[in-house]
Amino acid sequence: MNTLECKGIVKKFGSNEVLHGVDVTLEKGKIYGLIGRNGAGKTTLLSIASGQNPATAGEVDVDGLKVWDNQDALDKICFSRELNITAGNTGIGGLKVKEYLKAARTYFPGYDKSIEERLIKEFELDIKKRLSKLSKGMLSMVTIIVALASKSEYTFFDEPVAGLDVVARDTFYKILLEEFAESGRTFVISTHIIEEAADIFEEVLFLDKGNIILKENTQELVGRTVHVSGVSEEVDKIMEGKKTYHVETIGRSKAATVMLEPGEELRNTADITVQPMNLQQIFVAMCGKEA
Amino acid sequence: MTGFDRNLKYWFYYVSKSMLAIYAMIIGIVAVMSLLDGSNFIDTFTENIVLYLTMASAMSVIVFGFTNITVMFPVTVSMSSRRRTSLVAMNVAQQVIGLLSFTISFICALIKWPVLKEMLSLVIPAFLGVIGILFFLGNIVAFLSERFGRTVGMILYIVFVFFVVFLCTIGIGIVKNGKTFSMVMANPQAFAILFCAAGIILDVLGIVLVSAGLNKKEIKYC
Repeated sequence: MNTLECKGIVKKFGSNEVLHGVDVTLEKGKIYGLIGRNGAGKTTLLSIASGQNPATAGEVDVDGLKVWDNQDALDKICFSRELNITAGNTGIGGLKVKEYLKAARTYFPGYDKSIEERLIKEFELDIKKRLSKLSKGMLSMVTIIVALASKSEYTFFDEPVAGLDVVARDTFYKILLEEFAESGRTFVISTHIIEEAADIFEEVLFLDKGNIILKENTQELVGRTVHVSGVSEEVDKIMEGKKTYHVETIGRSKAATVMLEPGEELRNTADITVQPMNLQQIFVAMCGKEA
Repeated sequence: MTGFDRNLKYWFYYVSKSMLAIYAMIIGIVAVMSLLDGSNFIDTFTENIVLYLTMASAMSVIVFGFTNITVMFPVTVSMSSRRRTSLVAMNVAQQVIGLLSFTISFICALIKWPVLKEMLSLVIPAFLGVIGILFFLGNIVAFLSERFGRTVGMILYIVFVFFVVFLCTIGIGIVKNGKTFSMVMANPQAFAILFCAAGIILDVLGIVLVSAGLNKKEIKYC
């Protein structure tokens, strides 16, 4: 209970399998960062976890309720999708911001209009404009407003800061944290701007080629992941029995990203250099191409 | 409010607004035409009000079919609505507002041509049958737009309409001199009721057609 569970989620588009049996549990009252490369399956996973699209196999439960086609479960979730307006005024682009927000006000049972009004003011958003006339950053603002004002227990953001300027990004993080502190809602934020948001993620999920390869507390992950370089034999000794990523050999020297055991420490010696890594570097080491 | 209530509330708001926009467009066109040919707008409008209201109502059915399923339906699903609930509420709103609009034009027709009042038992079922067929066509547009996208969907719809008109023309040609035609002419009341029933059945079939496969459809924004 008090969790959102994805169990064995498989998603196929024709013969192309995008998600390969994803198992993940999100606990209530945490901010998760969902990090993955383009095409890793982040949006697909979120759209299935929110009950917007069906999985090919597997199921999603929220607080013990099946999410698919179940209004009681859907009422607990908001996935404010990234708006891609490509068809001008003929599609969703023809809607005015205020019309889109009106739909959100009607559909989300706990919608908080005061949050909507505050964000419109903070972002200086013109709600009379059509979605097709908005810049990418402004479209992100609209999705942020809907997600935060929805007051849904589980709220998913897909690239919320894409196109936002520094001031708007700062406003978003500030209001998100305020809302989190006040409501204890669960937020999942899918983003490529990792370092900027790293501090607010209590846990991170790394999604690589349709698999969750890591789910861990952000501080613990950053605390136990180091970049080790130096004499090849010494680095090999350190690597022995440990999870290593992105191993590079140049002549007699070797460098690798090493995940230490919790509480384990590694110090610089004459033969090796140990450097701390930030979340982005860890992600690149784990999901980037092997050297 | 339940999910269905929320859907009804939103779809009635959206469909009514779209309906009013279509009325405004028709009025605008008549006003511009009157301005261009120097006629009196009020006179022209009053003279042809049945035609304009019927046009607006028929247009609305096709416009709803063309846009609601591809534009607003994905938005409602992305706002945590069940698909089937949204689809049912969408159809209820479209059909109630459409029927209301057709009824207004029908009442105007009764006022304009009092002779129709004497044939109400014939005219009402025929009127309902025509509306049922129009709703069916609206759902065919919705089905094609949802499956093939708006542009290809509209092209396929036009092909479909031509095909149906072709079949009807041939069908009428075949039965015109036959026994069936004589039977129909002998009992127009029964024919009107049959026509009404056919319209309603087609309307239901149209809804079923749109809902089929919708549960597996990938919701994307366009």
